[in-house]
Order: sequence, then C-alpha cells, then structure tokens
Amino acid sequence: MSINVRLDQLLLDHKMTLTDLADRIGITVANLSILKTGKARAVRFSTLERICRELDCQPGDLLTFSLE
Amino acid sequence: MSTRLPRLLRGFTTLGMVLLAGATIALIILGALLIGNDGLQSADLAVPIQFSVDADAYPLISESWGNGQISRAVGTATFDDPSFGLAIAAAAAVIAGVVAAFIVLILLRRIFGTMVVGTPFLTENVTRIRWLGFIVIGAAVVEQIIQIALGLIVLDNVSSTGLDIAYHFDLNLAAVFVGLIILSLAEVFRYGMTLQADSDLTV
Repeated sequence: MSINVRLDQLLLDHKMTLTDLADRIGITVANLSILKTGKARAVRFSTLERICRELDCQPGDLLTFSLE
Repeated sequence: MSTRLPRLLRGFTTLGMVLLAGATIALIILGALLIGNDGLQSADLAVPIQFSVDADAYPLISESWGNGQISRAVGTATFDDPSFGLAIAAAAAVIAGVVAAFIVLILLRRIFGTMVVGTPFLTENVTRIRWLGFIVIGAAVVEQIIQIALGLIVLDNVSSTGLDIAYHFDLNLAAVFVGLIILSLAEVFRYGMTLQADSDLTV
C-alpha cells in the first residue's frame, strides 16, 4: 500500500527537466528530487499547487495510490 | 539559524578544557612536590564527617522559639600525616571529578559543534545528552560513595573523646534532579529529531 509520485512521467510529457521545474516553482532541486524519488513524508499544499499550475495537471495526476 | 552563540559556547567549552587540563597538570606537579618534600598537606585530605554533640554543652536560646540544642553537626576532619590508603581514596575522588568534568566538556563541545555546522537534532546528540545526564547523576552518587569510604577509613582509625563520629551521608539531590532534567531533555531532543526528519522530508 503506497502513494506513488508520477513526477517523472509528467516531466517527460512536458519535456521538462527536474532543474527547470525547480527553477520555475521556486524550490530546490534537492527537495524536488526527494518528491520524485518517493522519499518525501509530506507535500505542502503550496508546493502541490505550484507543481500543478506549472505542469497544468491535477493533484491526482501527480499522486496515485496502489495497494501493492 | 545564527551560529554566533553556539560558536561562543563551543569556545567556552574549549577554554574550560584548557583551564581544566592546566589545573590538573598543576595539581599533579604540586602533589608530586608535596609527596617528595614534606608529605601531603592536611588540607588536601579533608574528610566530611558528622558527629553528635553534647546537647547541654551548646544550648541555643531563642525568644521566638524557646530553648534549643545542637544535637548533630557536620564537619570536616583533616589530618597532618594521613595514611597512603586515605590519600589514595582522596586522590581518587579528585581524579574522578576531573575525568567527569572533562567528559562533560567534551560532550558539550561536540553538541555545540553540531549547532555550528547545522541542526542539533541528531542521534549522536541524543546519546551525548543522555550521557551528560548519567554523568551528572553518577558523579553525585560516586562522590557520595567516596565520601562514605573515606568516612569509614577515618572511623576505623580515629577515636575522639566526647564525640560520636559517623560518616557524613549527604547525597547531592540537586545534582540528581539536574541529571534527571538533562535526561528528559535528551528525550525532548529525540522527539525534536523526528520532527526535524519530518521537516527535512516535507517538500
């Protein structure tokens, strides 16, 4: 049972690198990397909002839930 | 977070270690000179004792509380020519105190060092603070054990006319409480550590 982060796929769809996104939403690459690799314990609404705005997606596009 | 205060505190602990090392070396040299020349000084071998006093000999008079008497007193026994065993026991107390103080200063220096570099909420610091607590409590207990040992040696070898001498039991409760407070601080740090980890992994 886990929450999966689909940041990789979204970045690929938008032909954007992690560094580009980090620059645009104003958080460090290190922090964004924590999110991308699934190590994050929590995501601020403000971060989620900025990612969704930049990648033109819904929170559900970024985070998915699976029972495995 | 400003690192000025941790730097200052780390500097104080370094200074404390240098002063303590200097004082210890001076004490060793002085001790060696005293043993080499004219024996140990009585002042170096003060043993805390308590004794009964003849209640009639020292009456206390108070207008507010009526008459009173001194029944038990605490004092210090000093000896001009102490035995080697007594000297060793007294020296052990001093050495134990110096070692404990040194360890405390080293631990404090390392804790302040982590504050200079970054966050103090680390597993190492929890262990260090826990050790500080144990050392403070341990020092009070060991001091008491040594005092009792010294008292027993004195009681075995000394007789006094008119005084009922006993070893002085006076556990430093303040130190024990401070030690317990430090131990609780270690737990606070442990909780702080989990909050820090949460904060670090929140994006």
